[in-house]
Amino acid sequence: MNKTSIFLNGIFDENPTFMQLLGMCPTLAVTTSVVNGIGMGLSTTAVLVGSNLAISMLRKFIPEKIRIASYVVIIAGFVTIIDMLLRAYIPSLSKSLGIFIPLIVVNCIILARAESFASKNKVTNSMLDGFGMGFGFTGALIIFSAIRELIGNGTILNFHIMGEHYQPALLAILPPGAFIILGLLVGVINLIKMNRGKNNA
Amino acid sequence: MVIIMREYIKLGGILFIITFTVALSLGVVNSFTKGKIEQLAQNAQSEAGKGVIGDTAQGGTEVSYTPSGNTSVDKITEHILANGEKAYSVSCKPVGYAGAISMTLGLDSNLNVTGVAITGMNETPGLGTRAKEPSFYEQFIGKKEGVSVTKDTPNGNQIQAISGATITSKAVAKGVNDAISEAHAIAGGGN
Repeated sequence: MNKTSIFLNGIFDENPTFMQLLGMCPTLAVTTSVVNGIGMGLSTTAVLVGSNLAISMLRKFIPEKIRIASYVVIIAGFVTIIDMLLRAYIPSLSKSLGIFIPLIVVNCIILARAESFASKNKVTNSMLDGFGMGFGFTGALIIFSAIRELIGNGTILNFHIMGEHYQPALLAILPPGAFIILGLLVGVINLIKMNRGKNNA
Repeated sequence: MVIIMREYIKLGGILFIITFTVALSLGVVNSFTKGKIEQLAQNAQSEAGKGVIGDTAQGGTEVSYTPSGNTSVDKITEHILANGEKAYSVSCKPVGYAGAISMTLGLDSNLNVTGVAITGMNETPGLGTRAKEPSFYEQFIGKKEGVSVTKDTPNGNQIQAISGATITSKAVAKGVNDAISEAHAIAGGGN
C-alpha cells in the first residue's frame, strides 16, 4: 500500500464511523452541534496520531504478552494531555464536551488502530494512518452533527439556516434521534457503495 | 521456575518503564497547565459573583453558614451596595440530569433575584447545556422565593423550561429557591 492510499483508507474505504462502526459512543453523544463534532473529531485525531506514533516507535520494545496494557497506558496518557491542554487553552470546548474528552481513552478506534496497524507498521505510515482515520472520524462527525443541528435546532455552526418560522424538530438532537439518523446515514452510504460496486462490475 | 520468574520480572520492568515515562510526561504538561486552569476557574467564579449583583457591590464578607437539611447551597457572601443596602451572592450546587450544576446567584436586600450565572455542569451537550444561555437564566431576574418551572408560557413567579431539558431547568430553579430560603436565615426574614 502506498502512502496516499494509507491516508485515504481511513477517510473512505475503512471510515471508522460509517464502514467499521467503531467509536459509536462519542459519535452518538456529542454530535448535537457541529462545533462539538469538530472538537471531538480533532481531539480524537490528535490522540490517534500521538498513540500510533508512540506505539509504532515502541513496537519492537513492547512484548506480545503485555501489549494491550501498554497500549492502554500510552493512549490514556495522550488523552489526559489533550484534556489538560483543552481545559487550559480552549475552556469553552472543554466545558461543552465534558466527560467525553476523558472517555476518548475507551474509544475503540484508537485501540483498534494500535493493534491492527501501528504495532505492525513503520512510524511514518502509522502516523498517516492516524491522520487518515482521525480525519475520516472528524468528517463523519461533521456530516452527522450538521444534519442533527440543522433539523433539531435550525442552525449550522450557530448560523440560522432554516429561517425564522422553522419549528426545530427536537427529536434530532435527543438520543433517539441520534440512533435514527445514524441508521439512515449508514444505510444511505451503503447504498451508494453498492451502486458503485455494480457500475464497476 | 527461574526462567518463568525472569520473564515476569522482564515484563514488569518494561511495563514499569512505559508507565513511568507516561507519568513523567503527564507531570510536565500538568506543571504548565495547572496554574492556567486554576486561574480560569477563579476568574469564572469572581466574575459570576460580580455579574449577579452589579458593579456597585463592594467587596463582600463571607457569611459562615450551616446548611439546613437537603439544601444545595454551599456559600453565601454578603455585600454592601453603594446605596448602603445589603445584597447577597449565593453559590449552590443543585443536582441536574448528570451531576451537580455549579451556579452563583445574586439577591437584593428584598431577596429578589438580581442575576444568575452558571459556572459549571456536565449536562447533555445541546440540551441541558442551554441553561447557560441568557434567554434561559435571565428569566430568573426579579423572581422571588418559590419559583416554579412550566413547559407552557410562564406567568407570575414561573419560568419556562428548556424544551428537552426539564430536569436541568428544575435543578436550576431548585438552586434559586434553596438560595433564597437559606439567605432568609441570614437576612433575618427578608420581606
